[in-house]
Amino acid sequence: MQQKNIISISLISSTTCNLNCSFCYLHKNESYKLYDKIVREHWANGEYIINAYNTVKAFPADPNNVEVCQLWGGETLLNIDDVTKNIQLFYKYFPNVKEWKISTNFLVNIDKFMDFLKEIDNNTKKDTLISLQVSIDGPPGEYCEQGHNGDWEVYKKNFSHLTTLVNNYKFNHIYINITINATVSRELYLEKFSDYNEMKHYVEEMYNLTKYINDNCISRSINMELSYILPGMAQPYDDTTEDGKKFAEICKLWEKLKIECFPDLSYYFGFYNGCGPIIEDRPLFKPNAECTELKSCITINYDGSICECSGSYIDSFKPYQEELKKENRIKDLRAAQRRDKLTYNPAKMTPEELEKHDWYVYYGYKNNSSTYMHLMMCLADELALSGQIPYRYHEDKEYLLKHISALSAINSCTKENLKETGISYLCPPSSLRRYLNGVLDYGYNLKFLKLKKDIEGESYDRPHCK
Amino acid sequence: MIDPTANNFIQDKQLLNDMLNRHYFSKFKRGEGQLELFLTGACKANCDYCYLKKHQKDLYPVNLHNNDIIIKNLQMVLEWYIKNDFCCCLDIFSAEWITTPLADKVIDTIISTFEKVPLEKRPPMISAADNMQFLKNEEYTKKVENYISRLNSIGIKFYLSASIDGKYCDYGRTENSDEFYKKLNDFLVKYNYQVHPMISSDNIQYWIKNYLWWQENFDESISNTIMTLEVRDNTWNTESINHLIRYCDFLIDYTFTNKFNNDKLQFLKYVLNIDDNDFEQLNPKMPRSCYNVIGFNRANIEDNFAYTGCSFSGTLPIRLGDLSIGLCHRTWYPELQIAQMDIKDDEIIGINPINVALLILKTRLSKACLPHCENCKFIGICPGHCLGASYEEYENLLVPQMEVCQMYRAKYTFLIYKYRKMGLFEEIEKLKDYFSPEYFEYLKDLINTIPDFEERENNNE
Repeated sequence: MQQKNIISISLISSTTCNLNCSFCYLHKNESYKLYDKIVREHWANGEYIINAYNTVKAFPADPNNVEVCQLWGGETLLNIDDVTKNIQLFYKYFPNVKEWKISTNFLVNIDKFMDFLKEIDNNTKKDTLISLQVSIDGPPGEYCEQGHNGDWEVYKKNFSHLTTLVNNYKFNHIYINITINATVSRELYLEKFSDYNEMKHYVEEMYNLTKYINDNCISRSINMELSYILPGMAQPYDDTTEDGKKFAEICKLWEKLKIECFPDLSYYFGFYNGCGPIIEDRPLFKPNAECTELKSCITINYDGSICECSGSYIDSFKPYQEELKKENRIKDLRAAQRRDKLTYNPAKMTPEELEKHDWYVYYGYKNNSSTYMHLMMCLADELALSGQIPYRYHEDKEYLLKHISALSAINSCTKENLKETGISYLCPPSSLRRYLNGVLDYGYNLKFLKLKKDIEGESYDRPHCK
Repeated sequence: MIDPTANNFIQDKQLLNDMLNRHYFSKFKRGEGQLELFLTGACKANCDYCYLKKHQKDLYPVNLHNNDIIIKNLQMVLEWYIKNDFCCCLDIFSAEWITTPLADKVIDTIISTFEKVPLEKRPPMISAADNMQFLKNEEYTKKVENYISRLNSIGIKFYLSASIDGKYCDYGRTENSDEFYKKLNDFLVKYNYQVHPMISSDNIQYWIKNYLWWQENFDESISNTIMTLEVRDNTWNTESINHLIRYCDFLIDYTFTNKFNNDKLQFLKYVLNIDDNDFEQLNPKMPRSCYNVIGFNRANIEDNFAYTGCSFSGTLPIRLGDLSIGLCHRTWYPELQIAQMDIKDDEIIGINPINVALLILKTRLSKACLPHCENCKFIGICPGHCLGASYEEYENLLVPQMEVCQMYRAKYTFLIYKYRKMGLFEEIEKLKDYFSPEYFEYLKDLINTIPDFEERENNNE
C-alpha cells in the first residue's frame, strides 16, 4: 500500500462546552456528555495516543512526519489536564510535532493550560508554536449573546493571568501566538454592520480589547495578533441576492472604516467577511477546492477511527444518532448516518478493505478538487442566467474561474455541503449569492492592489504587536 | 422538508423553475427529452437482485403505494403536461404494473386525458421497460394488445422494451419456457419492439451461448438490435471480467464476419457509434446505440465529457405517489429529492424546491470532474458508473465503484488491443470529419498509447 504524507493530526480533547452559541455547527444533545466521558477515559489511560499512532502507521503514513497536532472540541480547555498527563507519551509516538493548534473560548482552566504548556516544553527539543485561536464574537451585549457569551472582564483577567504565569516560568521551546476569531450570525451581521457608526463602535471595542491585552500582557513568549478582530459571518448560508449585495456594501464600509479610523490596522481582506482562505495566494492563483484540513490532516477519534473532519467527529457515534432520531432531526440524522461510510479505522482493516476505503475516501473524496470546482462553476453559471448574481459570471469564463478558485476552499466545507445539498462536493446556491454579488469582486480587486503594493515594496504583512 | 418561510425560499424557487425551463421544459415543448413517470414501487414479483425491492423503503416508501392517489396524480401530471404545451415522449418506470389492476386505470387515464386535446398536444410515444410476463397468459396478452391499439388510435405509440436476458441467462429471474420465447419473438416482431438484456457478473459466463441463441431463435430485426449494457455494480471480479473479455472477443469476430462482411470501415463506424447515410443504407438493421458492449460510448470533449452512462441527464422523473421530482428512479433517497409539485384544487400550480442545487448534478454532470474518471484515459469512451449503485455502497453518488472501473478498464484495454490487431484503426483517418478535432486527437492518442496485451503480460500487469 502506498505511503501517504500526513503532516497534521486532529485529536478531540473534549466534546462538551461551557457555552451554547446559537450558530454552533455542532448540534449538542445528551450524547455529547457520554462521548466526552469515553474520550476522557481514553485520554486518561493513554489509549487515545496509542490508537492515534496505530492509525497513522496503518494509514499508512509515517508518524515521524507529523508536525502539527490540533486539539478540537467542544471547549478544548475543559479537559486539557487529561491531555497534559499524556504529553510524554504523545512525544514518544509523535516526536516531531512542533505546532499545536487550539481553538478555545478561553474562559476556563488557564492554570491547567499553563501546565499543559510546561509539559510540552519539558518533552520536546524543538521550538514549538502554540497557535491559540480565541473566540470572542464582539462587544458585550447582542454580539456576545448570539455567540460566545463570555464576560470581557474574564477574558482580560485570563489573558493577564496567562501572561503572569508565562513570565514567571522560563520556557525553552514554547512560543504562543494568539488570534481572536469573531463570528457574527448572518442576521445580526447584515443588520448591524450596514450602519457605519455601529461598525465603528464594534471595531473600537474589539480594538481596545486587543490593545488592552497587548499593553497589559507583555511577554516575550506571547504574540497577540490584531489583524483578526473583524468578524466573519456565520454559516449556514441562506442568503438572497439582496443579502449578498448588502454584504458587498458592508465590505466596502469596513475598508472605509479602516482607512478613516484605523490606518495602522492592517489585515487581509477576507477576515471580515468569512472568506478566510482568500487570504492565501494558493487558492487564488491555483485552482484548489479542498479544505486544507480535509486534505492534509486526519481527524482521529479516541478509538483510532478516522472521521471526515474535526467538525464531524461525533456523527458516527451511535448514541448521537439515536438522540437525533428521538429529536426527529431527520436531516441531521441522515447526514450523520452517511458519515458512517467515511469513518474507518485503518488499524483494524484488511489490506483489501483499506484499498477500498482509499478508493472512495482518500482518493475519491479527500484528495479531490475538480469536482467541487466544476459543480460550483456550473451553479454560478445557472445563478447568473437566473439573474441572482451578475450576468458576467455567465459571459466571462475567466472571471468565473478566477472567483470560484478564490472561493473554492471556503465553499467546499463538506460537512456543510452534505447537510445542505446532500452532496459533499456541492455547495448550496445561497453561499454563492452571498459571495458573488460584489464581495468577491471587491475583495479580488483589493487583493490585487495589495499584491501590487507588495511588488512595489510596501509590505502588507500582518503586523506583530510587539 | 420545504420551508416557504425560509429567507431564500423565493429565490430557490425561481432558480429551480428557471433551470427546469432551461434544461427540460423548453426541450419538452420541442418534443425533445423525456418525462418519466415513476408509477409504483409495489411489486408482486420478489426478485432478489432487484434494486427496487432491496431499497424500496427509500426509493418508493410503502405509504405512497395508494393506487387511487397514484391515478389522481397521474391525471394532474398529464393535465400539467398539456397546459405547458409539452410534446415530448413519456416513459413509465415501475415495478410490475402491466399485469395488475393499475394498468387499466393508467391506460384509461392517459387515453381519456389526451383524446380531449389535438394530436400535437399528445406525446408521440409512451415507453416502458417490461419483463413481458403477460405473454404467458392469453388474457393479459389480449389486454396489452388492446392498450397498444387504443393508444395507437389516438396517435400515441406504446413501446415496450423487453427486459429479457435470454434463455441461458434468465435463470434466477422468472422461469421462461421455449414456448414463451417463441411468443416473445412473434410479439416483438409484430410491434417492432426490442430487447435490452443485461450482462452481469453472474451471467457473463453463459453469454456466448446466450448470444448465439438470440441469433438462432429470433428474427433479425431483434437479434441485430439487442441493446446490451453491463450491470454496473461491485460484483465484478477477475473471473467474471475474464469471461467478459472472452465474450467481447467472440462478439467482435462474430459481428465483424457475420454482420459486416469483414468491412473494416463500416465496422469501425459501428464501434464508434457513427450514424450516417452510408451506414444506414449498408446496415439498415444494425444498431448505432451506445448500449453496445463492443462499442465506444462517445462523450464529447466540448461538453466536458458530459455523463452519458444512462438517461440521467435527459430525463426528468416524477414519482406519482407523492409528485416529487428526483435525480433518477435509482436514487430517490429522501435527501436527494429535488422538488415537489405544488397542488391546489387538484391542479399542479407550480413546483417548489426541496434541494435545488441537486439539479446541477442532474443537468451538468461531467466525467471530467468525477473522482477517478477525471484522470482516466478512457474518459471519452466509457459510459461511467451507476450513480445509484455507488450511493448504496459508498453513500457517495460521484465516486465510481472500484469494481466497475476495473471491469471497464479491462474491457476497453482489450477492445483497443483487439481492434488494433484487426487493423481497424487504419481506417480511422477516413472518419476524421465525424469528430471534433479535439476528440479525434484524444481518440488517436488513446488507441496509440494503450499497450498491447502481450506487452502487459510480459510486464505481469
